[in-house]
Amino acid sequence: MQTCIAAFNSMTQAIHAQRILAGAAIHASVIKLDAQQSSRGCAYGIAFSCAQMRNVQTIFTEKNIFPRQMIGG
Amino acid sequence: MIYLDNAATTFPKPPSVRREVDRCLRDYCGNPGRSAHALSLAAAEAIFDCRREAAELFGLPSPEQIIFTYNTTHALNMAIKGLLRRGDHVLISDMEHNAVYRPIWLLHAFGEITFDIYPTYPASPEADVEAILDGIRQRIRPNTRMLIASHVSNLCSAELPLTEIGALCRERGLLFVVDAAQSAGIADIDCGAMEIDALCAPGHKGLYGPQGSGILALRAGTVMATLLEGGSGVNSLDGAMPDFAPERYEAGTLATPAIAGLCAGIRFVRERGVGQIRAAEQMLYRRLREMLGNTKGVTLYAPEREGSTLLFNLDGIASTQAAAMLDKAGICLRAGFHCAPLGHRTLNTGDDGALRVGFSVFNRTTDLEALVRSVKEILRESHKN
Repeated sequence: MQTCIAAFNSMTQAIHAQRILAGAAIHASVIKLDAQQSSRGCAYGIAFSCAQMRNVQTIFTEKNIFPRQMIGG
Repeated sequence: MIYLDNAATTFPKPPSVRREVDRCLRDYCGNPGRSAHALSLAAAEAIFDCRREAAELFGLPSPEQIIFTYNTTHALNMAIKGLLRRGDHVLISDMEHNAVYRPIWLLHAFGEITFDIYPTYPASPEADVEAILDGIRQRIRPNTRMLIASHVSNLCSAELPLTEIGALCRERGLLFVVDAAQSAGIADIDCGAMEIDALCAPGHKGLYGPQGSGILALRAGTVMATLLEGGSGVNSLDGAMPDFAPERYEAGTLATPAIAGLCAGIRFVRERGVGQIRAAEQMLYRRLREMLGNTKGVTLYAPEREGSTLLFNLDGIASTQAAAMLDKAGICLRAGFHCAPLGHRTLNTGDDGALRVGFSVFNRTTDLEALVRSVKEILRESHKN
């Protein structure tokens, strides 16, 4: 399974996004981003199956969730 | 022991709150928002759960709008000092607690701001909403930037009409800051409908959480200057604090066990229902008002304002002395000035302060009957001497 990442500024935003996806039966794990993915220092994101990328983007748009960056897919 | 000092802090706490604090300390008290390992994540999820519960309770669309503080005073200082600028004029009510009055007084003493006090007529049965709004309108200046309202007084049960005041603030472009120290969990609060920019609430009173928990609920898009700077778990390479809530305002490690307990406390309140809690405490208020009102030698203040707090004095006995006597009889309540000199001036209790009874959902009429028996005994003994 190829993993995609939605990068957020903070743990709070990442958990918020994870909970919203869980409500749509999409599994996502909260991760700490690598230094290459977060040039300003510590940041968080959620990792999910790239097969769900389109669904994830649709749900984020509907729920006013704005990731800093979508990585992969 | 009979505990009637719930306006200061509720006691006891619900079993669910005690269990959750214990569970947090035993099972998941990692440092939230600092790592993605299991224990840190578990703590962060508990913190998020509490944000979501609080956001839903106070009518906010997003959990990110909930900032955790250590108490209401902390939240009020953040809002006041974070939102005001040099040259601003502020309106505060004549019932404000020192948590509002002192930071405002200090900013005024430093020449940063000016302020005026608007009347709320808590002791006047005739006072209506329009009279309060007129008092506010008369005091608005071109540079008035903020209005602060104590939702419910910490002395008596006087309540300000937040919906109407919020609408006026919106119309006149004022920031609306609300001190909900005595109302959170007891009165309905909808930050959206009431046009509240910053709601400051304690965790340890009507929300039944532990001491060390408080909330600042901020309108989406409102940006404050920070009161504290430090580690936030994000953007660690920047000198500046992050520019997004809640992390911008939560420097340093959060009080995870207190917040976990607060989450259980908010759930307890939501399960019971704010309206049910209010009705139960008003029933206790009416019963005590009736019993004390029929007791010779007792003076009640603003008794027509029914709520969770009743203020009174015993003729010829200093309030602190009366409280000490009641303590010996196993009854805990608070005497003196309750950190509210403005309110005591307004209620004409400024010389000696007064005795305050504060109810919680765990009080019963038998508690009140015991209090009244002790009051009568104290008055009897006092008249013998």
